[in-house]
Amino acid sequence: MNITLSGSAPPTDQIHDQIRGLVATGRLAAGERLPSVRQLAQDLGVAPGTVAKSYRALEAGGFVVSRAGSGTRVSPTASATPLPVMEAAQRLARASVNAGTDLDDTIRILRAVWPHQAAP
Amino acid sequence: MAVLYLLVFGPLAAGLILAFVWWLLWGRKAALPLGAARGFTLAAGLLALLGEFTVRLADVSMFLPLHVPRAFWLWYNDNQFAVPLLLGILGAILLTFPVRSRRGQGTAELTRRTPASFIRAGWFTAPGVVLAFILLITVLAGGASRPDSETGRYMTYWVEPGAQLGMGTRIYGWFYSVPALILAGVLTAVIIVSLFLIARPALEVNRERDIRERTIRARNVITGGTGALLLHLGLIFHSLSATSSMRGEFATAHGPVTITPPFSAFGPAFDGASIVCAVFGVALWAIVAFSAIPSLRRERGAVGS
Repeated sequence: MNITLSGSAPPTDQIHDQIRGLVATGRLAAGERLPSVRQLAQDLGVAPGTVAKSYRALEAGGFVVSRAGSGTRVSPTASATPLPVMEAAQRLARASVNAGTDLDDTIRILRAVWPHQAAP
Repeated sequence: MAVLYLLVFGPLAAGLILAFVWWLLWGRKAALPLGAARGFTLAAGLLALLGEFTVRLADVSMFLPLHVPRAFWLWYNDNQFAVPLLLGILGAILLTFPVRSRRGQGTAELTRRTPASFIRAGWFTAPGVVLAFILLITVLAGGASRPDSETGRYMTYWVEPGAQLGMGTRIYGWFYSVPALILAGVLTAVIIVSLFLIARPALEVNRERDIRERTIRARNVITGGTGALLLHLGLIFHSLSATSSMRGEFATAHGPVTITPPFSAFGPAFDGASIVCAVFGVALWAIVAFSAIPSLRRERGAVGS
């Protein structure tokens, strides 16, 4: 899951908007840990204060929660994707890529193993 | 003489062969990409292997036309258990390089990079088990050690079957184990710092190659650390084997009495464990060195692509 800075909008707004979009669409799971302010600032090539400001705005909007010692996580109520499902999906994607199985075949396999409810 | 060489250098040769077989089967797929990391990795692996060879050569130097200074012997006698750990620390430091302070180019992954980011949780199992063995044996042997009557060092094992009878020999006591434990702690700290420094920089533009390189480097740090701990554990088992071989025969009113340590029956097991640890310790360091060998198939493909 990447975010990219481009255009003339302030970096603080771009970081805020992209993370908010990823949370709102469920691509970031509830409870998922975000990178530290320092790491994200280093990766994006911006000042740590810029990222910290974006995180504060996301926290104020209820998209993330920050706790001392456990960093910043996606708010449990902000994303529709449960964290265990997201992690399992990421593992499945990695396994499929390693095995040379394409997306369509992976979805077909997932459908085949999906537990069906017994007919009434 | 040939048997002596086999006993001393056999584990070294067996470890190298084991690592070579591993490299032929799986290692060629896990070679480091071109770059400075290869040089540091090769240096770390060769340092540990040459160190192990030198230590083993020193053990048979009395049979060779080599002049080993007395000062070396005095130092080696007191610090032999620390040598694999010292080499492990130096190797882990070398494996940390190159340390980069790369800044990104406006793109970031929303994934935390921690010391555990490029390793699998299972990779810590082997060093954890070896470290637990070292701690257990250290406590048992240390508890059985007594101060030496002349130097006061905790390095003597004493058997006293009666008030008038007694005999002693050397054991892996606190004198040897406390500095080794400190070094094992330093090695663990260096490994964690190394994993942190490997994981910290921003990912390169060629993300797949960078992740692959960091995964191999992180694995090498853990592999080398485990190798150092195994070589250290091998020396401990070797020492315990020597301690367990103590025999004494005393003349008493009821005839001659033979005295052995209560754990003398474990002697062959200690010997076997010592060899196994040495073979795998050498093999792990050789695997680290072999990971610097270019993967011909992959690089040919890269050139052609």
